[in-house]
Amino acid sequence: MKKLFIYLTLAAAALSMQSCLHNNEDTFDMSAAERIDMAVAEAKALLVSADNGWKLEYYLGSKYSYGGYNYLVKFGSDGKARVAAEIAASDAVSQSAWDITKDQGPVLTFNTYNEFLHELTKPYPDAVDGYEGDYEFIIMKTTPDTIYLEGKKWHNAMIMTRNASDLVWKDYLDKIAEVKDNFIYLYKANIGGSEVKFNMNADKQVSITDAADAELATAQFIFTTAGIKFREPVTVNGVTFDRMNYNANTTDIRQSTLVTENGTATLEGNVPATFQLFDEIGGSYRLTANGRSATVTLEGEKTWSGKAFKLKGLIKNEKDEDVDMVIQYDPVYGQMQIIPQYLGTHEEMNVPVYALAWAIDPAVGSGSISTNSKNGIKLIWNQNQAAPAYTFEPMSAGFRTNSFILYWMTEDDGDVPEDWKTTLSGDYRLAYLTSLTKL
Amino acid sequence: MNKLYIFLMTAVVALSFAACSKDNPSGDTIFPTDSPQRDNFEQWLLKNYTYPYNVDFQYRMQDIETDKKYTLVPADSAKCAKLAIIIKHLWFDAYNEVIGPDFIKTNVPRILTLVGSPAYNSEGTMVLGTAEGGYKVTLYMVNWLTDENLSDYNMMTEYYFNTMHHEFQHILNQKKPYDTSFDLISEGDYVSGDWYLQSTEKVAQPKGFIRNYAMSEPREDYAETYCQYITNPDDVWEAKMINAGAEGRAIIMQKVEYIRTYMMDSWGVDIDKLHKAVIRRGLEMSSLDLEHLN
Repeated sequence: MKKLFIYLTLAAAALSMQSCLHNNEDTFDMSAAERIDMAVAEAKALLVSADNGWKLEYYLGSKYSYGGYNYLVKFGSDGKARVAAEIAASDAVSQSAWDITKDQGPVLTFNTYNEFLHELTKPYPDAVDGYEGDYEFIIMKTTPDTIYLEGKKWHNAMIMTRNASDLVWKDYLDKIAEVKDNFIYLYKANIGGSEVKFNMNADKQVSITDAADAELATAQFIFTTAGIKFREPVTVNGVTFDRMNYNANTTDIRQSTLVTENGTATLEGNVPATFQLFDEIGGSYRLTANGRSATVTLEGEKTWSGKAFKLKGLIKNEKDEDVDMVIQYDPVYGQMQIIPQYLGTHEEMNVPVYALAWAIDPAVGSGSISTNSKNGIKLIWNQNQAAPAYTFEPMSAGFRTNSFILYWMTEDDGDVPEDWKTTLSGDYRLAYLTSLTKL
Repeated sequence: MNKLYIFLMTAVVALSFAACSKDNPSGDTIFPTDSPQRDNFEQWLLKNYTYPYNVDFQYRMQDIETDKKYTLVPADSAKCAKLAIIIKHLWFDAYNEVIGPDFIKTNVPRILTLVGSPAYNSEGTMVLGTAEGGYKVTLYMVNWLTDENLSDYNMMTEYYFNTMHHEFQHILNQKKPYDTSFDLISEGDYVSGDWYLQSTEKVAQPKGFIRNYAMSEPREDYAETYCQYITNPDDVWEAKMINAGAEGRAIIMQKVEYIRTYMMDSWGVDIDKLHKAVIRRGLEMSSLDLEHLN
């Protein structure tokens, strides 16, 4: 027992020396805390060092689902960032605070509200995550002229590049606006001997299909001063697409093309004959329905998330005030459509009033009404640039909408409003829509 | 042999003390010791919130201070400044007037965080404010403020001040519990998560609840009755009592009496004096200079 005790004691002695006798080799010269402090200081210095700021290629939506947006940002040493954006007027600059925090590594944060940046990141009551935009970015890697970022919440990879000192912010954004306003979204091309279709949409997503409509690849893009740039190069039939120049055909927009920078491929416009650009449409019109006419105005409204027209002069509420209807514009098919929509509140009755889709059967003189947005009406252009006019067609094959009806609704009740009227019929009916002719 | 053992034990103990004496912290501290750069607003906050009331007024969004389940947006800095001026006048200075700065320094949440957007819940309700563990209050929806509603006492009260008094009452309750026989007054009438389905005027008040939110649970009833009593102008309160009817009024006033006793006995605060101070300061709101930091 005594020997056992001695051995145990010696073992204990040896063990307690163990922790000091081995060599601690540090992988880094400095402690982790010192290293992150340095990373933060270096990142700040790098951001501030760009006298003309940086270009941020911002990608919105989880898995890049809403595409790319251009931002120009100048980081001041006073902790204030000056931001200009593709989604705002080209000469507008919004100022707010910025910082680099120690979070998941050095994190670039825009921590007070910036009108142009946070507009994309806001939540909404019916979409609590909004468009899934980040305003805090992990700095993944830096070079003197490029900063690689990753959105903290939605994990989109984004790139910031140093602006040339002679870059004029307004001119840069003006050129991008020009490309956007004249852009068409459907193309076909002959690549490597076979027909390929490039189907793009307003969310800047691309689906590339073959002649049998089988999907070959998908991609996302951002607008540039010359055309578009794919987020990552995409290869189809041996040809790689990265940056493409957009050649808008001002005589016939449908003949516009997208060409790769090195000329290896040309995409030809593939939009329908009834395609119209948004800016061509607004103005005064005569709306005809069931033999009667009214003068209305289509007033274009652009927001960063879409384009639409306010149809003015058609509807009046119980106080005889003007109520606007909304006509949506689909940029992919260059077409307008009217869907069932909320118009306003009947203040006396305290109920919401809607314009609902109405499919009247001419043989019977009555028909069903619908709130479904798939049962709207399409406006088909007559393809006459000199004398534009539109006819109406139902959007759905099953529900043949040819009219609209004013209707108030609560959860368990609804009826036509007695005192809301259209200038066409003098009452709640917009029946048998026939044509919309430009004046 | 005993001496040997003692010697060995001492040796082991001595060795283990000697061990690892190379682990001295080396070099300078990594924590910065120089003051941060503060702009005008931040200097004003130091003078008007930190020094007198020991409160950290965080207007810059710090992700780590917010609830990760919400998608939120930072507050606009100009609106934060205006809100800071109003909150000081209508809230902090009101308590200061009635009970003195030490009460505030000891009990008021140390951190006030401002968030630009509301915090939307997926069922369609939104959070106006939260109080955590007695040390932090978060106010949402700051970007909704316009010059017009900044000067509207009723709107500001509904969206901000009620929340602050309400959350503060929770904090006081967390430090010193209230008499739980309060919970029996409306026992059986609480509806928990379904509070937003009840109408305040038609259901809650006649049943003796100042607002539908008070019907969710007794501690919310306590805090909500307190904040409404403090902030409602007399005519507004009376109109609510009339709507509640004789029975509803009696129940609500009974709840107020509980709160009155608690606040005086546990905290030395006279809620009627506080009410008068808040109402008076509310009337002074339109004459506050929100364009300059004084």
